[in-house]
Amino acid sequence: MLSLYYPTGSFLHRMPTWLKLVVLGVGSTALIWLPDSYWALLIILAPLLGYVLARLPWRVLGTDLFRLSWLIVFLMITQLIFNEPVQAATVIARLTTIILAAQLFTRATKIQHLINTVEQLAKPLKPLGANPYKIALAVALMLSSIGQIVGFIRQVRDAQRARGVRLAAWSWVVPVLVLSLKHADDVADALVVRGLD
Amino acid sequence: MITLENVTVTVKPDAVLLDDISATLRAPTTAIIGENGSGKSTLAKVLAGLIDYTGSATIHEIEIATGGKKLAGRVGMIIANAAAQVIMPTVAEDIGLSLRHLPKDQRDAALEQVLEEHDLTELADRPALSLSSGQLQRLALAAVVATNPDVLIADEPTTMLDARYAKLVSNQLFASAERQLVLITHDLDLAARCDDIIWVHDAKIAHRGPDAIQHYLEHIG
Repeated sequence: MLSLYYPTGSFLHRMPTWLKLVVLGVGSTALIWLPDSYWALLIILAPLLGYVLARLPWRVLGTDLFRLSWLIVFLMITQLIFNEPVQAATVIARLTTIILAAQLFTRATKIQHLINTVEQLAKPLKPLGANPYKIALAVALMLSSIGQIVGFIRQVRDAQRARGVRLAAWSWVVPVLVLSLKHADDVADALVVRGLD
Repeated sequence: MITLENVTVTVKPDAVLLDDISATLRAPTTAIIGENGSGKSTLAKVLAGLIDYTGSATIHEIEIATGGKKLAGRVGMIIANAAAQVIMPTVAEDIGLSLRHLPKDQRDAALEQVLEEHDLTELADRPALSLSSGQLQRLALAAVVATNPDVLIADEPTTMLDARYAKLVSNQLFASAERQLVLITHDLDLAARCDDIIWVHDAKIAHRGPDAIQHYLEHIG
């Protein structure tokens, strides 16, 4: 039930979903050929320009950048350990650009449109025994699970705070795993009872 | 019509969740009552084809365990964890998923009707993740009822609801004369509205009939 879509009616919102997927896919692949250079960091401006073109409020961009900040810090540390600074900068530029572009895609695309497009794109796989609708549904479930798991983490941390216990920073991991498995079991039941299995 | 013949559900190694249950549910509305852990939800899962059993359980004379495809769309269930039942990101999209079998030109009108009937119009574009437990429960019911099943199994459908929405949901559950309702509930007032009442105790049917509530109340003191 993750809903990142932010309606503004921009041309990016109105663009066909398949075209957005193609641009995202081709653009991300093309980043492989980005030469190692500090100038590579400028490529991050491309998705940022996309946010402007999508007429998304600065608040939304700020939220998305904040979500990314931990990953960027983690990447910086690991890359600087294993790579030269210039290579590290290029890797960070590539990954940040891809993730920001993917976030922009979800901001400008309704999940329902994404599912319909995935279903259409998966149709050629039908003769091989694949069920396009189930592939599309799997995408929807994957996106919904992210929101659910974030909710479980919040729930477990709140429960720990409510009980006044000071536990290790990672103490939420096991309860969240248990909740996630139980939820997965319930979702499996729900798919059956909704005739979607 | 629902028929159960010697239905037993066991969980390895030796936990018996339902013990040799036989019953024929003909009434338009049947309530299943009983204490926590008595076997009510397991019985609901048998009817929805969610759990293996021995014996025979049929809906419209189709064996549930083997007739999944024949029964798909004819049996709907509201599971106790309503949040798990909601798959799509927004209220309207989730109900829309249930209406995808309709021709495209009829879907919008059908969606509007379902939203209105379940008092969800104002929540149509709300992310499902932001809904309260009660709102999720109402959405789960709307999404299941939208598929227009012949048999509706509802496992605790009013537990999270305030008085106003408990009444609304109750009325919706009993709204259709064509649909057979099997209601698993702790709400004895709601159970009393059903044509048939079954009290399940220790994995068996302890009592059945209009006085089942009375027997149940005497048992729990």
